[in-house]
Amino acid sequence: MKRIFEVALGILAAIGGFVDIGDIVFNTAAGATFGYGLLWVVVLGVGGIITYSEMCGRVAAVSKQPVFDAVRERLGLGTGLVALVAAQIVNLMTLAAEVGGIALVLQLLSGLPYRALILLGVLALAVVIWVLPFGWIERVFGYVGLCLLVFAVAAIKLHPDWGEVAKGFVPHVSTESPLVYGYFAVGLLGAAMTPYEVYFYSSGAVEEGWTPKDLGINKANAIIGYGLGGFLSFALMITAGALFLPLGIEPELLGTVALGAEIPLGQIGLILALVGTLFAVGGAAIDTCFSGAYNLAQFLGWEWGKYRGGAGAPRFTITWLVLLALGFCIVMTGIDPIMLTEYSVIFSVVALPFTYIPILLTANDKSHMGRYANGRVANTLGIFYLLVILAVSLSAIPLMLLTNMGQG
Amino acid sequence: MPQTLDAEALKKQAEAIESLAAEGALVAGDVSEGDTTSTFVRVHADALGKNAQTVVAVLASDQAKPAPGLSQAVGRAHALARSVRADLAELEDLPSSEAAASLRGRLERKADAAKRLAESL
Repeated sequence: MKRIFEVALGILAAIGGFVDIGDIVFNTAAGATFGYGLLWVVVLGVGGIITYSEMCGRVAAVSKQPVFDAVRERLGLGTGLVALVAAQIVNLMTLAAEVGGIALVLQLLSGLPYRALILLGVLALAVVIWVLPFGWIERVFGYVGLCLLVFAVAAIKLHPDWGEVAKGFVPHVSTESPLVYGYFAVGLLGAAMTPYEVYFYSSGAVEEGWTPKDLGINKANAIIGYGLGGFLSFALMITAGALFLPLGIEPELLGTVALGAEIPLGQIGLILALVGTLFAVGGAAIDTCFSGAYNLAQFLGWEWGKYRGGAGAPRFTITWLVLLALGFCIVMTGIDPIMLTEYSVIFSVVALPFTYIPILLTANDKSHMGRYANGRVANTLGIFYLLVILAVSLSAIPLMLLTNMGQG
Repeated sequence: MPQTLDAEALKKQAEAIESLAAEGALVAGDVSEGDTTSTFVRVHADALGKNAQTVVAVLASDQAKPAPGLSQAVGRAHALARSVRADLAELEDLPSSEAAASLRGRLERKADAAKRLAESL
């Protein structure tokens, strides 16, 4: 029973970590632009994040080595430093976008001034991170983030053409606007496989003291948790495809996403969508904040971990506080969080190989992992996804420039 | 310095007007049926109105120099954008149910007009 409970909690945490502002924006925009035609890309992305999260969770449980330990060991100091800088830049952009997203949702709920809500949001995050134990942070944001399931109900209530939805799961390329389609496909993959997810996942496994006995939980968390995250992505895309596409609505605001739940379900749909978004984005802000601190501390060999407390890991604690302050400053410049999200997702795609290659090498190293090293299935999937990652990382920036960020 | 507005660029602006008007109509519909919150309507209509203002600014005669043969279409798009902006401002002021229903109809018609304009380009 305890194990089932642990899996359930892990699943909730994975949902909170998977669905962030990047997923919400890209899935809704993709649905409003191409209907259900990009659903298969979500399946591909979810498969990728499951494959690599399972690997890095296994590495953390067996060797206590989180991702950036592996990055430094496998890539060496020079290339590892490049990976660290790239990861930190993308992390900070994502953190700032999430902080902006929190303020936008709070504004839609309260009507208070946006900048005051940025400050309030950042202070609330700092207090939550400082006060709540690691497990409770995961649970609170994961549980309440489940309100996003309202989009699944909304999608059903909007009566989409289920035949067309089913066709969307079959891989294909749009002949109408192939470049824009490619841009959205790359963005959806980037949003699903955002590197901070694995930084947080592997470091969280160490924080929670996983051992080889927890490998079953690791696998269940990765498969069911990210699978449910993917389910939420389907719901957002189907809602947008059924509601916004026929009306020619181009979603550029978080309020538009919430409208997708309000139209079929009324006020209760709106409130659940906004609260779910607030906690999913808030959870992602905490994940990215921690991820930045984990990466730096692991790379430089500092003491790290929320479980050690402020005095036990002072440089780690200062790092996450500084990152939170930097995220606050970036959003206070007035930059549009939605635009920042799109940039952060596309740039994270470019940084993907630096994260995933070391994970694959470490998980496949028998001298390091012993009998827990990758088997044939894990290696086949790992290599397949590595090829996908390399292809999308090379095409991300050209597609962004050629399509004017998906505007055509 | 005015920028030349070709058919492709004008089409994008017309599609943006269609999007804003259609979304405004959805919000107005929920206001008329009491299926939303006043805070959401106020904040979201304000954000939509700011986007409409951006379109108005792009299409303004001192900003846009229409490509040959497009003067009339640019003028129509500009008028539509200003009208949608005004409707969104009205929505932001939380109209009564009856007024919201009427606003919804107006915005739907403007979304249709913008769509036709975009398709004609």
